[in-house]
Amino acid sequence: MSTVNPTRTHDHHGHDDHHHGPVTLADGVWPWMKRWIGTTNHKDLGTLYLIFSLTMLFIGGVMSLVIRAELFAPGIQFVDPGFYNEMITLHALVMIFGGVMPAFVGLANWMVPMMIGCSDLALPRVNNWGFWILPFAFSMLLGTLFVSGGAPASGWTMYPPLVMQTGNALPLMVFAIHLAGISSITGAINIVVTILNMRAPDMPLLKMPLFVWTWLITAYLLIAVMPVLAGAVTMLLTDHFFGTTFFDAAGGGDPVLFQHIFWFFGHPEVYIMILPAFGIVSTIIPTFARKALFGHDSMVYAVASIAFLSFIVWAHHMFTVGMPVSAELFFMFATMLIAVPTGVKVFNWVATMWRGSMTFETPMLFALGFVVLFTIGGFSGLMLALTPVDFQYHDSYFVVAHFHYVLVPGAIFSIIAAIYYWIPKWTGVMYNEKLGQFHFWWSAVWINVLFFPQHFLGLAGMPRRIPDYAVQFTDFNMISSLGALLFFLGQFVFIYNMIMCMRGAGKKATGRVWEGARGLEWTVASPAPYHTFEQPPKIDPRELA
Amino acid sequence: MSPKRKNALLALALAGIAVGVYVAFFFEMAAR
Repeated sequence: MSTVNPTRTHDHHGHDDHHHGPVTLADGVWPWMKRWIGTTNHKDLGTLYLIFSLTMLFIGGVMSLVIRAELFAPGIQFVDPGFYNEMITLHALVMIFGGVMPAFVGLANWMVPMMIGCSDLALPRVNNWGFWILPFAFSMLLGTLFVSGGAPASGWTMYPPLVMQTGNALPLMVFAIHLAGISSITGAINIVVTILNMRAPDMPLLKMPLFVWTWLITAYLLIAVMPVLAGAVTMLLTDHFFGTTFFDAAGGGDPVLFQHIFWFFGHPEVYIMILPAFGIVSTIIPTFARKALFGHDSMVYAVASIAFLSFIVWAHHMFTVGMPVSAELFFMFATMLIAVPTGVKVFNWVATMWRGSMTFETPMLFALGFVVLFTIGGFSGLMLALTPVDFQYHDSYFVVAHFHYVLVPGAIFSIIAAIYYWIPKWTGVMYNEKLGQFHFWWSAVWINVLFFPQHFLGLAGMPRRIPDYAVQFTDFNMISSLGALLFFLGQFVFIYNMIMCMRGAGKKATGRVWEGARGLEWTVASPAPYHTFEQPPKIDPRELA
Repeated sequence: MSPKRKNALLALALAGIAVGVYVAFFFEMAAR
């Protein structure tokens, strides 16, 4: 694979586990716990992030089932409206900050150092700290279910003045968001420093794999916008407890100001949750089409363009609040412009497959599911970008259908695809392909049963964030709830398949794993040794993007 | 410059940007 280049050394980080393998459960429970609590190894932390994220996705999934159970039929069925609003709020916060974002950080932890040929992230102790903040943050957030006044019920957007009605949960929610934000920023800093300073010497920036590129750009977005969210929620806190009136019209403030600040964070946040997904799909499709990615450099420029545009479209989330027509036109056209680089990406994925020698293993199926279903979410996004019609769609179930199409068969399918794609490298064994195929088709069918009818509900006028609805919406709601339950149940097949891999049950994986795979991560053995690339590799140009 | 120092400096610069955005936003809004 590689020969040692003696002219360059990477710094070692002072932890004492460089000369032996990791502690296992066989060494005793306490040493094993100490290993996981104190680990600075990027692969260990990647595993911790992914386990945490999957736990949160299941907790958030149960909350969504509470929502869908309540909406199965008109009238109040199971929960009171206040608790329903708490579920709406926590489902979103848990899925976004606890599920999707940590999953991508986990994948970056595992794969970025191996893809660029360095031994670990640049700041391993910061990496440990960034992870271990999260369980505290989310214990605090979920703990709000048990405080007086209940959990936050204002929706994840936390708009004042409604959010000011939150009881004791408000400071807990704000602090949880601060902690999750610190975790994201430390992770982002680590990834930027690692990519810019620690790449193998033979890897120029434009030869980096797309997953690394998308993460580099995502990390910049995180550093730029997470502090804005932190500022916004701090202002909520000072308005509530310290007599400021940032968002209180009675004191000269403006509640709409919060919406502007929130969405200045919120729209780039949307791309934080999808750009790494683009990177994953751009990695998987060439492998199973057995062709190099079509237009690699144009993909990089497209991602950079999307990231730039994400900063100048925020007010499309709030067309109905009242804005000058010129502003509405600007935000409409800027939003529609995003379709251009996104179209470049979709066309490049299709062109990569064109006349490729394609096979359809589970990661490829999920990647293809992503391309088709994410594009549906993209098109409904274009519809929402049109100011005049947005006045009809705004705050309707159409919006719920739109963003769930980009986040579930979009972001979450890409996470699932990535796990199937790389788990043979992580564990050294192949997952059960039959179960994987079943998992894909089950998920692909029921996800559409779950979310497609929500378009019709929204267009017919059903508002979002309500526990009850007019009887004419019953049929589509029943179908949607059925889809939700069956989609959720299917995910246990995935968990079973992954646990079997982690226990080493299955066919042994080769180093290359997939016939068409290219990249440095495939040049090491499977499972990947605890420490890889302690000396920078000499790279075969065929492994470069 | 040692690689370790180079990493630390870049990390501090990025952290400075993050803290700067937070502080700037908060005080910009407070000044309104």
